[in-house]
Amino acid sequence: MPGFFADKKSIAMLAMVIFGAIGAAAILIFGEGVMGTSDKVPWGALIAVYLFFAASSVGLTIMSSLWYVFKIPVFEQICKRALSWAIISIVLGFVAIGLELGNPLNMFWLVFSPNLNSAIWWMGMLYTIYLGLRIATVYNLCLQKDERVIFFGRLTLVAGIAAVSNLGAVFGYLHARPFWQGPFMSVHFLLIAFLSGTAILAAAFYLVEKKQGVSQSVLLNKLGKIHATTLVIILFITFWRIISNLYGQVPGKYEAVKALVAGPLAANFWLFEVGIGLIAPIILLVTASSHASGRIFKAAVLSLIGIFFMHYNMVIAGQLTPNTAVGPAGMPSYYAYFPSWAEAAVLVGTVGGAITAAMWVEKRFFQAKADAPAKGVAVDV
Amino acid sequence: MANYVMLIDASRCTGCSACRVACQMQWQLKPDMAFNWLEHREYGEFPHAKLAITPVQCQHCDNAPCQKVCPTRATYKRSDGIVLIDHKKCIGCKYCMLACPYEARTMDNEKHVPEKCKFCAGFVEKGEVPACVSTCMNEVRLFGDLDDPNSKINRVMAANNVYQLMPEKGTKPRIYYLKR
Amino acid sequence: MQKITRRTFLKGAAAAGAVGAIPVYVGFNQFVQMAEKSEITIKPTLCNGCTNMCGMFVYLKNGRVWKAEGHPIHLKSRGKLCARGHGMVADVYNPDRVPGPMKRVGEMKFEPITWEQAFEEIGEKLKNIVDNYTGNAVVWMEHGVRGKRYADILLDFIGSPNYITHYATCFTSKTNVWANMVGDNLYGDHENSKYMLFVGRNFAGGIIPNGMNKVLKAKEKGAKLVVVDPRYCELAIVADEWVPIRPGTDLAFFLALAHVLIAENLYSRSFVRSYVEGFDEFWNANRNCTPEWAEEITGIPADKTRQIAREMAGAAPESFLETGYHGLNAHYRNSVQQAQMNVIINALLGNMFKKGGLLPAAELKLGSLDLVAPPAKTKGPRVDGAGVEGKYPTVEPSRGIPQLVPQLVEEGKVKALFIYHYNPLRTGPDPEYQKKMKNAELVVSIPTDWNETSLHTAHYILPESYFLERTELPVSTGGNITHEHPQVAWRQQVIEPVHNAKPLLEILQGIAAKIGARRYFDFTVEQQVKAMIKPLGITVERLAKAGCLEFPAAVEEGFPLFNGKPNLKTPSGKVEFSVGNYKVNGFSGVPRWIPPQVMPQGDDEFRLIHGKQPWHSHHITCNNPYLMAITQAYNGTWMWINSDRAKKLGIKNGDMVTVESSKAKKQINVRVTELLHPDCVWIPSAYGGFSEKARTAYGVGINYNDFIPAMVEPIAGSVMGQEVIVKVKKGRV
Repeated sequence: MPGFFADKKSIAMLAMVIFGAIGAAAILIFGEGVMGTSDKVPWGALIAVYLFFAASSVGLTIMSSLWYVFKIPVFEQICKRALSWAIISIVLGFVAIGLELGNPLNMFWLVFSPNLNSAIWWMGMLYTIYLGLRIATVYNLCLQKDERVIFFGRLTLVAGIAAVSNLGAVFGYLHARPFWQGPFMSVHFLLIAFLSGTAILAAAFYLVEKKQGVSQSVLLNKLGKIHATTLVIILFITFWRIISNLYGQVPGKYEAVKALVAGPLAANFWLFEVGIGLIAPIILLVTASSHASGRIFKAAVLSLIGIFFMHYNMVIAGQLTPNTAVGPAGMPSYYAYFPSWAEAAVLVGTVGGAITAAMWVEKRFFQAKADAPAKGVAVDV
Repeated sequence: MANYVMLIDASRCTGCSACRVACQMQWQLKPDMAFNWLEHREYGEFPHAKLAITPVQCQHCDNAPCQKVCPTRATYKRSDGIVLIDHKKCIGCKYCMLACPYEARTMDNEKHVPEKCKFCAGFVEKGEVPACVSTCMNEVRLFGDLDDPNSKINRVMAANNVYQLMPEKGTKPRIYYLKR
Repeated sequence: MQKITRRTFLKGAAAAGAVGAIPVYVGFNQFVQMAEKSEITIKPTLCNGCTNMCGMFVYLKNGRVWKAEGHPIHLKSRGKLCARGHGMVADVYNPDRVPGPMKRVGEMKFEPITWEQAFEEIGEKLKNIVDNYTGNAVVWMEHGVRGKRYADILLDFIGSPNYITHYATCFTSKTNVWANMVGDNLYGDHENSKYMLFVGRNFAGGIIPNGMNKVLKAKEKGAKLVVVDPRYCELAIVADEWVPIRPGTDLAFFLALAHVLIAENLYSRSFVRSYVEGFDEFWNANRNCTPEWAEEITGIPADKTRQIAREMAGAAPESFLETGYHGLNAHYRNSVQQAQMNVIINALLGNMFKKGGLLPAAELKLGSLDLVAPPAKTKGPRVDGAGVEGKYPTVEPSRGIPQLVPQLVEEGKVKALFIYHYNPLRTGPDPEYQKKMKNAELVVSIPTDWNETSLHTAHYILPESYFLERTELPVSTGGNITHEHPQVAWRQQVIEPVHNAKPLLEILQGIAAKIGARRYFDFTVEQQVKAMIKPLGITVERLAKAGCLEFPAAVEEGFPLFNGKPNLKTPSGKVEFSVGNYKVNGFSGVPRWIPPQVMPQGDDEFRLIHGKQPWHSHHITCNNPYLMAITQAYNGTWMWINSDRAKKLGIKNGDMVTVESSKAKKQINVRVTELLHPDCVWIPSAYGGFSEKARTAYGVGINYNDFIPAMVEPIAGSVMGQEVIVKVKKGRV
């Protein structure tokens, strides 16, 4: 039986994963030597990869809760896929951050020497709890114990929101980095997580429905509308964030925003984050006719690319401004960062890994059932 | 109980970098890894222009952001005020490097842990002064114990106006700078 | 030697260094454990980071170098070291050292040979050259003067007068002038001074740690420090005033200073009356050199000149014009005259042999070992013409004119070259021209690392032991700063040799054995040391342990008198404003205004000037990874250019520019700054390494020597290293 995609696509995915594995191996062996990071820009592309998957996972969880928690019927059919993809996503996120850590084997000290003041400690705890609860939900789902699924589903939503908003706090706590500092980052992460969830589901369900021969379902239309609304909200926030920081010229914030709009990150920001990530999908969605599922798919894929750059630009912009004790003269106006091949490989590999894992799950659990005549796509929960 | 602080008279620094290399030797660092550095600032216009150099290193803050953000308490503060890193607990997340407003930490690419000035812990308890202090021909730095009422640093600190770097960050540094 | 075993982890960091060839870092906790078990040894020696030879203690951990600290007694270091000192001790493990004797087998290709083979072949060739062309065709070149004691024996044996040092690239104007006008060298008594004027002298760049310390001590006591320099040099940071001057015009500024001192009757009439010869001749020649006249030339406002002169006179005799070093003294056509003015201004202040003014160095009389002298041979005139009638009669023969050597090789006048601790291919003018030296019949280089001269010209490379691996002879310490007590200090072997290198004496003994001169080298360093310190009444053991010893006061104030008459080592016994030696050879006896040889004209033309960065000693430290890491951290190779001039050329900070003279065209990034005179561009003197085997330095930055032709200043023989105009253009042109 052929795969979810044609075989050629499977091979392409496999190639991506192997490329990623080579990059990962290089990082494990040579460490910082094959990474673009430096003392001045300690966090690089791998952090963006981690944020992308960690936020996406919670986004998928939030979307699944539209049925579990809020009982909106049309979303019932996405639940199980969203649940399984949420697990795939967070696991790949952990892979990325595991590679970024210098000494991941020392992580047991998180248990034996905890620092409750540390947002990263809470990040570790909350995401661990979140993953545990997510697995428990899926386990009970397989056992078809509905009440427990709802119970764990609700708990996971709470844990997920806690985890992703704390992820914002990881940045928001840093007084050393004015661009990040403050409560905004937590809200920002929650919004982007939600955007990720909708975009992933919109893209994936287009493919699922295409495979199943369903055309222009109510679900896809709804996803498209939610997606468009979220995009507009984020565009709105991005606009005011840029304007206010340029206007106020607060040291640290101003330079970071300048780096985005007219500095080393300008191409990333205007082309990828704003153009591809926000404006293009919004145009595609608001000008779409009622039968334009292809547009919904395109908009979703574009905004997923954009979301990665939102994370990437945020992480890098916050670090590019030199913190100097006596003033900027004699210092570079910005520090430099560019991802190394190994970091890029891990991005490619994790994306490939996510799609491969989703394909496998699809084939193993959903497609087999879908093909069986007795059962429909939406298995009861 | 000791209470170690450093006083820097930046107006005396002529930028020879002896402090940098003395420290590298003391701690056997590789050439491109340094625990202290100089910040240069040029001001005014020719022919009345001037250059000021400020030596900077880990400020051994009493409210140390690096210590606060460390998930495993690998960064810790001793009762004498010195902030140190316990490598065996460090997971290498580099969060401390971002949290430090002075950008005082540098990555040890062999051990994958951040490193920084240690105030020559292990030496100062025995009455030595840090390598950056002892080598300086211009006597830019003064190191000592504030709890010792007879220490030179106590006298100088009492007799002069001092300031700290980035007080707005609320870090309460243990390195003071002489106001000129 | 002092041996200490500590049970605490106190000195423990060296445990880290004990592991491999490159210092290996260990964690704090492991370090504590390792340190508890290791043995610390502390040995005194003298630094080799520059020529000041600061006293230092080297800490060894299990036989490996850990760190260094300044010797607390040594008058130059006084417990302090600059970056060079720390970097130099680590460099003993530099992988780019020449590991053993080498013989050239091709263009930049060498094969290792045994010492025996090296001595055999060099001896054979040297003998043939002396037989065929006489000893006059043999030249010994060195930085100076460390090898002289042994080189002289060899040169005497073969009958060569040609001992040549690097000083023509450094400060021959100064030594020439002071020898002729004062007969001695005097040094600023910084610590006790009330007013210090530094012109073209960056005391914080070419560093004597205790010298800077003394300057700051004087400032704490209220002394004023004024720096006159086209560049805001590091010393200017701690100065009360920085007065930028058009480069090459310091002579005019000095003439104007003297004019104010004399015209306003501010000078010490009693000093001039008693101890100066030739005052009237000087004054008659320079009556028109008013501050207004000088302002046109130097760009320094006349009032500023007056203010400086009056303030100096007010503080006299506890004020001085720093007697200078490299900056100005090998740089211009008028370098000799500006050096003369240095003597004259100080004499006008009446500060000589006075506290807070200028004082001589405290000297110790050391003994010497009686040696068997080679049979006397008649030596021909020096091949470089230094001190030779009809050639360069006023140039000091003890310094020589090294920049003539490549030409002399080409002309067939020099057949054998010994180059010891010297790298003229990089530190002399015009490297392409310098390469001609390889065409001599025998070129032997005695370096420690793969410097440019060895790689490109040497037929044999005989590596000398690193300074931590060799024991030299004790020296009477002094000079450049004052100290009332004389000191003896000793460079001693600190570690076992890392490579198959030898100290200079053993190298010369090896060669001597092959040319029948072994018996004149029939002594050991130990015998020499014993004989030298005998008059001091100390034991070798005591000096070995202390590294540096101080003796009761010797420097006294007051002009040297004999039977009540001035007794300087000059013809009149006085300070001579007019130099007879110059006069009889057709030069002016007193200084007069001479403009620089070249001046920048167009919008894109600049005078190329250079200077020492505080962490490099010109090129010699350039292959040191620790010191080069500082360069990297602060964009140290960048060329400085004045902001206004840069703006006119569309050049922004960090831009790559093309620098071109008649000799070379190179690219470099620029630092656009307000801290430099608009007439010039400035580059640090450390860079432009082109020896592929000195990998840290290779290809880093540019060097001023690339741009200057080989020139000879007629009186003192200097290279006139800043008589060059370059065109600067944005980008790669």
